[in-house]
Amino acid sequence: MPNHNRRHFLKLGCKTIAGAGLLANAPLAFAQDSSALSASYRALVCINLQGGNDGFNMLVPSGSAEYAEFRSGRGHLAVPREDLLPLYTATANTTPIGLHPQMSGLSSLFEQGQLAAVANVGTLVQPVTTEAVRNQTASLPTQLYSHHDQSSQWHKLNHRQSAHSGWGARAANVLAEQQPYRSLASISLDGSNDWQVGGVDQAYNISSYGVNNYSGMDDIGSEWQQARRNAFTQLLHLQYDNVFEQAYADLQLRAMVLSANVGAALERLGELQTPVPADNPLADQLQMVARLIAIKDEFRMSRQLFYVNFGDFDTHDDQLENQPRLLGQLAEALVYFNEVLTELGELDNVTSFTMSDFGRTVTSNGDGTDHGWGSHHWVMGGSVKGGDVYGNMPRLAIDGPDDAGHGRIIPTTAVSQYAATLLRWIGLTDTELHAALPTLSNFSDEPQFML
Amino acid sequence: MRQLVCTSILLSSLLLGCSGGGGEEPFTAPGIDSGSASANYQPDNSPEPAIGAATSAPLDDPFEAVRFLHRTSFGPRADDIDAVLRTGYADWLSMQLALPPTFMLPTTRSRAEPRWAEHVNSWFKLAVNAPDQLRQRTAFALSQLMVVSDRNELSGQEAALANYYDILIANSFGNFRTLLEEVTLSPVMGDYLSMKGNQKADPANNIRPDENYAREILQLFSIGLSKLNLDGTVVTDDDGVPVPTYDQSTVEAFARVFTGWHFQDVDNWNYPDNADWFSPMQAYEQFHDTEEKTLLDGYTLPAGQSAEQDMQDALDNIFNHPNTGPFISRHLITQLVTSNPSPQYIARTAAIFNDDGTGTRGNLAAVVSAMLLDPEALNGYREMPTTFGKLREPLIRLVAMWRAFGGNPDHPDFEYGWIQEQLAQAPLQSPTVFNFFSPDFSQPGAVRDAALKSPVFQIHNESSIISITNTLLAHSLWHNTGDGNFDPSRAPVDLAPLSALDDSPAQQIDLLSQLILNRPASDGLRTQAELLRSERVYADANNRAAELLFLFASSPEAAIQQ
Repeated sequence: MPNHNRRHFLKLGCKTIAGAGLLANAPLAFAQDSSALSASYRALVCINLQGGNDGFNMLVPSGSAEYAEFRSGRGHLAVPREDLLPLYTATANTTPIGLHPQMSGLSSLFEQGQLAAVANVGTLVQPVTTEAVRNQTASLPTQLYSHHDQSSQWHKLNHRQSAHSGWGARAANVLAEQQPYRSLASISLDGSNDWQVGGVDQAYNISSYGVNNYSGMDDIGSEWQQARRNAFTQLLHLQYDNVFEQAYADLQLRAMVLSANVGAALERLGELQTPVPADNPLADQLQMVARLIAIKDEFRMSRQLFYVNFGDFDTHDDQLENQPRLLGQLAEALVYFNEVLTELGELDNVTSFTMSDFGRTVTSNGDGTDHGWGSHHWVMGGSVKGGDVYGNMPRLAIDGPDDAGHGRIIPTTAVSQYAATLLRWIGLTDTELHAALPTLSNFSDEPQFML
Repeated sequence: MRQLVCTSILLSSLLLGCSGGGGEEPFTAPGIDSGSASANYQPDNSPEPAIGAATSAPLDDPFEAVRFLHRTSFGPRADDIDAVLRTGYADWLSMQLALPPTFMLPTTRSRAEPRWAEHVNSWFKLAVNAPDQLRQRTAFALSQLMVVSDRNELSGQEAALANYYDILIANSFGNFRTLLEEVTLSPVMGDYLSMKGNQKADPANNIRPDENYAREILQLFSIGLSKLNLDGTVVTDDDGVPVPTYDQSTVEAFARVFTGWHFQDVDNWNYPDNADWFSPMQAYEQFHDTEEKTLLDGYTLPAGQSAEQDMQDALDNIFNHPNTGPFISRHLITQLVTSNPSPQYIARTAAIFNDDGTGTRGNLAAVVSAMLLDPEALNGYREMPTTFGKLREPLIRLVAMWRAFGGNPDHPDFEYGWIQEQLAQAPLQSPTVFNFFSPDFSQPGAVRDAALKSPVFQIHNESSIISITNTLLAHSLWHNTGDGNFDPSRAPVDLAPLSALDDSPAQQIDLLSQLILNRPASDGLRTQAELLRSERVYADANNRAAELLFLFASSPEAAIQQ
């Protein structure tokens, strides 16, 4: 009986890999010299600020006239001008810019040229004028100001196409050719998300704590457990008539194979040196991203797309308590990630960028702000042309030249333009880029924040 | 699909690897040929409504009763199956509708010393033990529509959250209009979506009313973003673009409607020292916007109305919108019955929402009954076997196992406030107002290729499916009464009914099929069950019973409700 079971298990091991569509030879690459691949490695890390971050309190125009406009609209929820940290930009801006005081850690990253800001990015399908927005003749994204829709548009950039894929997934489709182990080409630290959804390959989900183990089934030396595991696994190989039963079996099978392979590689790696900030869920996720980047050579990965999610930035109330705390954690996590990538020698190979549902209204509702439109964003990495603010800082005056109403600021850089610069860097050609970003051709240029 | 030829096998500590020939292929689900996946899983046509369907006749097939109980309760118990067989569907529903509600707050308050997330513990006690199972199951579905969560500010407000949940329990079989009003005026919802303390505009300071509740009551609780036909399909314009139900100006008008409300008898509007979490919010007219407001479809509230009048009229405006029937019907059907109801099924249910036969709109008892007795609910499993049904929620899988085998969370030290870490969901702990999963989520692969929805898959991924499996394993293999050495606070399952059948494996499998699956076990599952039994030939009967319970509970067949 034991012999029979052992044979059975070996056979199952192979079938499992084949069945789950996992590429068989990749994990055998441990001993190979992959330095050439490593040199060409590139990864994008999407940091989603869930709920709609108030970028206007994060990067504040600090010139007296511009600040006065902001203060007049925002009232007591505006960061006091004297608290702002000056941000010295490489090229002259029309107005000096101040950084939120909780983000002091970012000043040096910015000055060292590893961090750039992109001003007033938002969902647009084509360039618009303020007048056309106000008199409702502009062609606009659908369902502006709705969380679900705006977050979805940021993540997908589909416009009205019926394909329900994210732009991360479409980029991964293009890059798949170069990937020996495609199951790890897209990795999410926050479960299912719209950025990575709908590609040829499914994104792999892992938690900040690493892979889960199957309790009671993962001791290979225990025949007692293996009998159970065999029965459990055999059920995953049955053919199911119902589509959901089949999908459940498929997912469980993927989980078994990937947790074994990734888990073993992470165990061999051990912990990294750079200390992880305490009580910072974003840093926890980025720590796992760093560890996954550190094991990439075991799977001979040349391109990877990571997704992390942080927030709740939906500060309808208690904004003065909640947003500073979140911005502080964001800055702390970015500084940590920069350090740990330096430890790994991957700083130039990894570019991180923020997304968020939307910006927030310049006007307040008393103790918070409501759903807006354009907002400021960060791009970080050794290949970023840092120390500068790209795009146009908008005027924040209520009913001013950039206001769609109540201080919902009309974006001056479209998400497609922002995404295009990132996707060119990760390796998409011009043709591939326009296929991945259907509205890009409506815009004339792209912000040049990458080296 | 490419044939993989296994030429070498590497087995390291945990690593499973095999080298195959040929180039790279996109991920294709085993057993599903990518070229024909869509064809295989195209939804079939909805069954025609049977004239005079015999929903009140006794039943012969216990699995008919089992399937019905998976939709109408937190899982079948042996005596429930007997009851449904005896009475038929309709009488069982009538009996359930007539039961008095079991409320959560008394359970939450029954502890002398409050614990973190006590409402989660209370929820388990009600889900497992409350006799009014259909009401409890409906309330749980409503808690995923009108979402509040203890994440953020409401953390530590266990009793207040239980009181909110009791609004859902109280109104599950009541009128939707009443439900909408009680939810709107709940200080818990008022806090969660910041209607509490929302005040009229202060133009001098560029302060305008908070749009949070206004937006979500429309988008999530009642009508949704796009105009719907009675059958739930989206109304589109000539270019095929969905027609929006409202625009930003409507949201701003509703934001002004919902001004002037705060805790009852609050001492200070901006910095209250007293907080009555258990009474409806109270109107404070000086903070209410009294100007004219234009709501849905041009419905206008005249200037000068009180906060109460504005609120009443605005809720009527929402309640009477043609979207509400199909929107609420679709939510309840996808929560209780199937992820991909046919348009005809939604239309039949929504028609009952619009008029229950006595001229009443919004009668939820009538809607729930109609939805559960609909021929698509009852016959979908055999008329649309490949696409009917839904992935069961992880919480419900655990509760159902406890209900089936006597696991009882009523022990004073039962503490499961942490369960979300394991099951990727927990009552009143949604990460956002958008619930744990979206009704439109579609699992990549065959489900998506067939253009089907699979909402519950959104919380299942390569990470969470392992912790869900581990939870089922712990609560079958470890937390059971088998060897007399168990922790009574972990709701141990009673293996006696299974181990008593140890001499008759076929009967054991039949019992598990009824109580854990919703159809007879497949041949493959039977084979594996018997193999595993034979592996455990030197173990005792309880051990064999526990092994089979886990194998069944974790199987793909058990994961899907039909």
